[in-house]
Amino acid sequence: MKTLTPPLIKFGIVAILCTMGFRVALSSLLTNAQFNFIIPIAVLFALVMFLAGRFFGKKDNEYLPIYDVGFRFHLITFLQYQLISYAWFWFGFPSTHEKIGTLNITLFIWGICLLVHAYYYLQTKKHTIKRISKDELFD
Amino acid sequence: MMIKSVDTDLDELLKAWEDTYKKGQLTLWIFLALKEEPKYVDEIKTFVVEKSQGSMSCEEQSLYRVLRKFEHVEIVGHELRKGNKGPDRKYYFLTELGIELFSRFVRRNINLFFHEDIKTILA
Repeated sequence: MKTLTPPLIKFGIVAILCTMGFRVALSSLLTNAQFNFIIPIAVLFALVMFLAGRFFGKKDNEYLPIYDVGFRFHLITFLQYQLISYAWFWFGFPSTHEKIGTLNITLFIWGICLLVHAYYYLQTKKHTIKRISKDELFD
Repeated sequence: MMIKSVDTDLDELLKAWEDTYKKGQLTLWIFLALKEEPKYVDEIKTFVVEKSQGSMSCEEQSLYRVLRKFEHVEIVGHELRKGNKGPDRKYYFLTELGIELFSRFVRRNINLFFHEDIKTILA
């Protein structure tokens, strides 16, 4: 797939590693009842993901200016996060404090946000030719 | 003193006009280079500089980016060919869509400069 650019793939790998690290850290902290570290680790995870998205998003635009209002990066983040999180539960790794219901709520709310983003993504299509902005195609 | 001032104004005006004029010109020069024959990036760069008599220049990185965009919209393709030494080189060429696009662009925007009345004015 042409829109699966090398920077997007690299971002996907970084996102997978970060999410796996986050799940391991979260479950370990909860198992050891170190509740004070939960919010800082979640904030750190969000910050790292944001910075990775910003870094690879910039690289992606330099590689090929696909005009997608960040949707491909959002989709990759969503898919990998949900897959890893559900797999974490599936294989029985979470602590006793973690509930599958929390994941379901996250999936639902985030899924709605993703759908809204997808709507805007589809709206931008008329300004592009094969997803490259008409203004940026010819130099 | 007066002549020097006029020259300076003229240089500045010419530069400003050329800067505006050159925007969008790189595509034309790349198409010209590839219409002649398939080329790898370094050859395209040399063609652009030589044939434009130095009025156009481009960095290799910019060329790669432009060519990636053109490949994405399928007006340019590439094939790998053996280089003199080292890895295979990507030789870029115009696809059928690219050739048709170039042909229509030239008919609508370039050929009018070859009409006799315009040629007379330009002479």
